Amino acid sequence: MQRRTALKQLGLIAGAAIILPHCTSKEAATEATIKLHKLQVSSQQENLLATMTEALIPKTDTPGAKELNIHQFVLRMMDDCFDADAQKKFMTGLGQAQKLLADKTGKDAEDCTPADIQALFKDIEASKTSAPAQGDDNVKAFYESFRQLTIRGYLGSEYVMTNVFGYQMIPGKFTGEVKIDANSDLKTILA
Amino acid sequence: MNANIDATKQNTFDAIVIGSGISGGWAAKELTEKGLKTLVLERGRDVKHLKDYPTTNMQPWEFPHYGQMPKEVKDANPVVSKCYAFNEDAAHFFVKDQEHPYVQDKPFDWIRGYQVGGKSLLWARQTQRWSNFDFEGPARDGFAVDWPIRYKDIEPWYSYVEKFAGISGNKDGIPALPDGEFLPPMEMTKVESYFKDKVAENYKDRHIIIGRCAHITQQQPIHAEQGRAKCQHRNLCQRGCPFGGYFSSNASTIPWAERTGNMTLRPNSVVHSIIYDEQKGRATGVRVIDAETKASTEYYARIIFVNAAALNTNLLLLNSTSNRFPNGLGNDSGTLGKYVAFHNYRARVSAQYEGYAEYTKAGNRPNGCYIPRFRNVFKQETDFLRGYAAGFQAFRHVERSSDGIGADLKDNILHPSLGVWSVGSHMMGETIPKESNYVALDKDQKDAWGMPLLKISMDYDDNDEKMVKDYLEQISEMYSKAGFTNIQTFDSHQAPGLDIHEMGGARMGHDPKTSMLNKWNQLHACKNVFVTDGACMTSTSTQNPSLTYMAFTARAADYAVKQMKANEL
Repeated sequence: MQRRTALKQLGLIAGAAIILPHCTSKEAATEATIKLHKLQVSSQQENLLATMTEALIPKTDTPGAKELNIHQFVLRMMDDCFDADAQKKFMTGLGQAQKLLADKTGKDAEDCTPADIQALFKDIEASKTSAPAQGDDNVKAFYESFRQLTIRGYLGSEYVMTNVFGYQMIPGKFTGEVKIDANSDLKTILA
Repeated sequence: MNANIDATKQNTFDAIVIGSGISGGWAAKELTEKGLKTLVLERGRDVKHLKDYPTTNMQPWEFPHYGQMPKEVKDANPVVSKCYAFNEDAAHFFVKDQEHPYVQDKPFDWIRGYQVGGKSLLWARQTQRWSNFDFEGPARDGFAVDWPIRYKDIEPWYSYVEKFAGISGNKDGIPALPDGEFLPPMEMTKVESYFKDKVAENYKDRHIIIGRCAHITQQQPIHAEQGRAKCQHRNLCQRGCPFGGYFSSNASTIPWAERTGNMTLRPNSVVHSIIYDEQKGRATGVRVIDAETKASTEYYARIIFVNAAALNTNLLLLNSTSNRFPNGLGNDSGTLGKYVAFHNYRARVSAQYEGYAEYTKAGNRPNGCYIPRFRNVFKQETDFLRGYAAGFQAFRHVERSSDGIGADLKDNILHPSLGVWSVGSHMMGETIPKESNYVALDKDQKDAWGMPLLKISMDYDDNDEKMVKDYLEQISEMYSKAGFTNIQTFDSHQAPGLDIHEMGGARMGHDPKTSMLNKWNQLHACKNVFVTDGACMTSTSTQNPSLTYMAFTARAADYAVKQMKANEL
């Protein structure tokens, strides 16, 4: 029994040894860090998506989307809460965006800076009004759901809800009439 | 032989309560407090206060999908997914479609909670009393049958349950909506108060009030004794409240009954039928299928309270057949399962108000404003029977631009501002019980526990259509008179059921020939069986019904124990 297990393991190692030389380090398809059920996302795509969220909502005097891992929320939502058609468009669109980035910058997509990516987003938003070519459809579909989910993920994050908006799970009371003026801060306005 | 006698003895109680939801919990409390050894049977799992509220202290960002249900779950559960509260934080308290199928002869979204506490964990907690305008309705307007009671019969019992449950409200002095034993009311927002004043200026008989709701706004000794504290306005009630701030069986009546030492709670107990003994001329007990092992056991008692929730109570009575009652227990009249009704929640009216830009609110309010019925109250005045109550609320709309990319976008989304006031109202219409609206046993299909599937056949009628139209017109007119703008009306055309106010099927009445229950909620033809949940309702009125079920239950339990002591039962 043990011998059989040992043989099996040997076989696996041998198999891995056969496959590995075919991949360059850059292409090595490793899985995303977040467990997904439907989407097939490589760690490279995951990293690109994280950079994309940062391009959309960058670090300023408050954390950006990457630091808050919002790309994980984007992937989880797309994986669990959307239908197969939306998922397909999202993944195809992500691939097309990757290619557009590479074509535009001459770099591999994962080496692109947030500024490179922001330039792409601007192109995508600007072409909204013109009739899209067939291939553009998925880039836009990707961008629209990516954008919406990133904003939702960011606004609903612990950091933003507590530090920016002053969310309290236990307000203790309800006051029906609160007077506000131009100087009232966000926490008063959103209380 | 001896073993059998012992087993029978072990399975014999003074009382059996079927169901542990909002009315079953009250039956358990009242009967055990009065000294009866009481078996409480619940078809679902146990849910202990605090211990079994897994999401209660979770922060919004801790839910993997920020509360949204995954698509697979929604696709697999098209019915329960329509319920507003079926979200990531409370989905574990709802029955999933596949687990407990039923037959929709006509579309009906049946929302159920199978666990100790039932739907009392999930309810919207609105607790408005009925008045004589409601109890006299069927007799005055010539539908259903006359209620065998009047407001004075139930009034002391409303007070009794209100004091224990903890009801917040304002004494508004409105004839159609009697005042109760109120804890301090919750506050109204600026525009809600403004609307109240405007409506009072323009209409003699229309009122906007703060909702009366089962929240402790000021803890009384009786609440402290239950281990329940003041509502903290989390507005996360559907998860189960760690403060016991709102009334549920789990936080209140069930632990209270447990403390008497007289309650035996048996979860996972599907009651198959009530056993009728023809020699004795009474019900002697119940047949229970264990939800997990499917083993069948019989339990016996002198009295039985049926509180399985309106439609399941119908199912159970219909399935309790004998030579004496071939069509269901106590069903000499042939009315069992018929004259079921509900509340019409199809319509909404939204609008905006540009004034009072210097006001907002702070905190959350697990309650809304309420517009008591104003149509056909004192006399018939429209081309439809009865009327509607309505919910109402007004809050500032939060505006947030999501334009731009990068730092611009971030700046926009992190700096929301308050927009104009958004106002909204929803309709709660009385529907007329009719013989053609009914539930029945499916002839062929059974569930995993051997119970026939319930076939539900309920629909709107012309009266409901006219009422929807009138509600949309009248609320729009009231909005207009208050200077609200952008008035928009909606009719969802949703199927009955999502109101979760299904009622009737074992109605009360004077006459055993036309009703199932007498004025004490006893089966006319089998006096030791009491039905005090929604199944007993002769008509539906417009008020949220749970408070009335609680009062009926406490009243019936009091009567039952007095009758037992007098050897009449």
